[in-house]
Amino acid sequence: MAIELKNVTHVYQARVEMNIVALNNIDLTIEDGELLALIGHTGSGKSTLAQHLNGLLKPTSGKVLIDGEDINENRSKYRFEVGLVFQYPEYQLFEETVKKDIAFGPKNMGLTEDEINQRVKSAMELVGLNYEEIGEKSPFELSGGQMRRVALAGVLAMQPRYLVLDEPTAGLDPKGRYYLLNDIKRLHEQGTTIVIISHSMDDVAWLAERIAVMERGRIVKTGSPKDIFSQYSFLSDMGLDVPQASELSYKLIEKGVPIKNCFKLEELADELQNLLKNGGKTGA
Amino acid sequence: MSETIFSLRDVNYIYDHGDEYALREINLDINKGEFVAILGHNGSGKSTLAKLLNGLFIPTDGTVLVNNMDTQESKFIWDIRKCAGMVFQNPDNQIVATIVRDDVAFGLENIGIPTEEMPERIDKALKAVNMLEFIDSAPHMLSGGQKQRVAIAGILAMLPEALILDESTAMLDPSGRKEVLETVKKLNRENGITVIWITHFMQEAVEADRVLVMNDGKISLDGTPKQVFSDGRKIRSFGLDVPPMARLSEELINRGIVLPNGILTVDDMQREVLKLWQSNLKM
Repeated sequence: MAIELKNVTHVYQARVEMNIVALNNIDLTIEDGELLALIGHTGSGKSTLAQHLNGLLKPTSGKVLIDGEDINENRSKYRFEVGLVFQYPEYQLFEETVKKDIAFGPKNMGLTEDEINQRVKSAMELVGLNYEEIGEKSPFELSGGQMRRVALAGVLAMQPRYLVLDEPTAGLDPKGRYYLLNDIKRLHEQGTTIVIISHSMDDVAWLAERIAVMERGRIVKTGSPKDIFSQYSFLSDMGLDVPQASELSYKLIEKGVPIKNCFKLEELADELQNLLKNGGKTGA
Repeated sequence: MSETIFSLRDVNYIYDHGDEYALREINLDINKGEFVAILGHNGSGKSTLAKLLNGLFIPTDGTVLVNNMDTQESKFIWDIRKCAGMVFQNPDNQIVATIVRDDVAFGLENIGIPTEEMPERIDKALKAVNMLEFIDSAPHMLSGGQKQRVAIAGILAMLPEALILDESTAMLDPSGRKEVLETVKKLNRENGITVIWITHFMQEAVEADRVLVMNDGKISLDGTPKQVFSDGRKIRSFGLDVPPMARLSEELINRGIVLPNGILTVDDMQREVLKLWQSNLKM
């Protein structure tokens, strides 16, 4: 089925005299099994939208539906359906051991001890953490990338159908980033529906099947990565990054070079090879 | 001959609670006015190195000289901190006051600058990071990039010779990152401030004069960005990566296309592709 946002508006009332419209009449359907990326600069409403997907925030007006049912009318039912991984989730680790930390969510679900252990094990496996090796360690002894994966495992242990990740790779080193992106890809291949918020267009280019662009609380565009990233000036006018492959192909096309717009490096390499074959010694 | 500002000789560092070397046999000279990027995976020793550069850490063995002052000698410590200021990762942990002006003044009070001298220094510092218009603002209303620029101003007010930025862009969005990097580049170019820029973003290192790659507590590579990024395999063996255009260039060279070494930016690549394409057309 799907998550549907229907005319969702959210107004933060920071002070009585100051109403901030964080979401403005959002209509969006997240299809089952898809991997959707939300992009937009800071303050555009991405995180606010994410927090509506599991009922953490309630719309000021409008509805959030899962399988056609309003999640705010039956919050406890949907709390575990949508796993939300916040920004810098490792700051929320608190238990003495990695195992205990990951078990926290399943415990709250009222599962049996056996079930909990099973879930901890499989969640750790999903994010590539060795249960025997680090299960008994303190999460605070781990590297930043590992801590982030422990936090992710804690959400996965609740076996959500939908996973919402807010800036999952922010602050990680290239290796940590690579592992985490692979975890996300694998989860998606195993059938989890994923919404990812990211400033890293290279991550988005690598993962996303569909992109929604947000600005000032609205969704201003949705499309395939190919559609969105081919609109170089639209994105850069909005102050967003563009994958370097898109930027290069855009600039070359502008100079009259007959290539297709590509947002992935491998694709662009194919195009350029085609253009410049034989080392530029004979005409293409 | 350029003058050195940081000079490290046979430096080892072991954390109090451990017995493993966080840094081993570091020998390093950094000249005044250099823009040095430091790369390395988590735990490679980058931050430890940074903290040795302004006396936050004292080496277990060896010496660290900052402007010829030994960080081991406690009498120099305030002069060293004035000379080399540090900006950290989290913008929210570095702001101490409720008004930007007071935040910049904080460091000045600490080093005993007379009150009448402060306004001019504060104005100048905020102007240098293009934040003067926010002098009366509350820091929590600023964006991440703006907060980091205020943190930089707080250091500039102390008239330092060097800025050490320890992943200061890691928590910022792309426009915030650009803001901070441009600010620091300008300070380096126009005011001759030495910059030590620690980052996980390979693309940022491209902007530096010199790149150091740390691995296992040692300096494994030291050269210009072109030199350091010329060997993708080696860089990846350190848990890092080359910038996207260097990767594309590797890929094309593997497919038999003749490209010069050291392509790191979109502009470099665009130029080379156009050259090849146009000479193709003429044939």
